[in-house]
Amino acid sequence: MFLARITGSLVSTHKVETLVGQKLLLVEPLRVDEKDQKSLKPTGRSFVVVDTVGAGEGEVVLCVQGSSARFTPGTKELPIDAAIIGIVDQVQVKSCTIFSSAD
Amino acid sequence: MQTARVIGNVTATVKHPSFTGWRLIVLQPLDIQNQPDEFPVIAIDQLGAGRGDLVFFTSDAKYIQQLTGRKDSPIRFSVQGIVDNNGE
Amino acid sequence: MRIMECIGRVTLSQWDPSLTGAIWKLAVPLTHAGLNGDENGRAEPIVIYDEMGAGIGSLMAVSESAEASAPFDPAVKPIDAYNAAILDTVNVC
Repeated sequence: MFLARITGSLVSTHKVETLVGQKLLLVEPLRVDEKDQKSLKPTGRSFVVVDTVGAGEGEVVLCVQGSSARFTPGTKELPIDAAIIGIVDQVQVKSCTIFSSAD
Repeated sequence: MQTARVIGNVTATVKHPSFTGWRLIVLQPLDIQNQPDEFPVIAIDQLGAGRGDLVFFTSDAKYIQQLTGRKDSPIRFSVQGIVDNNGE
Repeated sequence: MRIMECIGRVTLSQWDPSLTGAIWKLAVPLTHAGLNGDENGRAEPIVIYDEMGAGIGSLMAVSESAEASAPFDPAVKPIDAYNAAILDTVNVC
């Protein structure tokens, strides 16, 4: 799984039938820097993901990739390869908290 | 399937039950020129492959299910053969 | 399964219902050089599902892609990385 920040939502009127009604979000994967244990680093990459947990813009989330993205009740029948499976509260490297949703 | 060099072995006490009884070896997958390609992986081995051996291995999940006799194994790689002709 | 070193943890405030009780760890995939202590042999950390109790510094056998969810068959979980074993010894040179 990878950590990512929600950068926006993706609106599409003309799309495959199976995705009608699905909430699609844009996320930017974040890098954990082992050496500089201060913050999550932006990567500049972008993915389209389906949200199963009710996440919102700006939040840091946990995403699953590949065929496992279908392994939730809500995504079982969807033609997707990435989904949000959780909203991140804290990230700790060794004894340092490098991210906290409270900050 | 892919070829790999055996670079070592590992042991584990705390592990998924499907590992029980299996020898675990570390493979370095090789590219077309027998140079290291990507990350080393852990595979189960029933042939007694030793360090330095050139082998070929598979990521077939069905085969792992047959070998371990269970559908719930997280093991992915198994050694299928030790290469005699060094791939040449 | 790649060999990874546990370097930290992640906690969630909300999650998919199938993931209740899950423990998440940060893990660094190691190359051959990384297994021998070379700092350049450490890849970008990923998040893994851990029910084996790995601590900081533990070396783990991490299953990825669809096999990561196999231990929960048939009640599969939406995970793509699973700690399948904590390694006691790694004999690599």
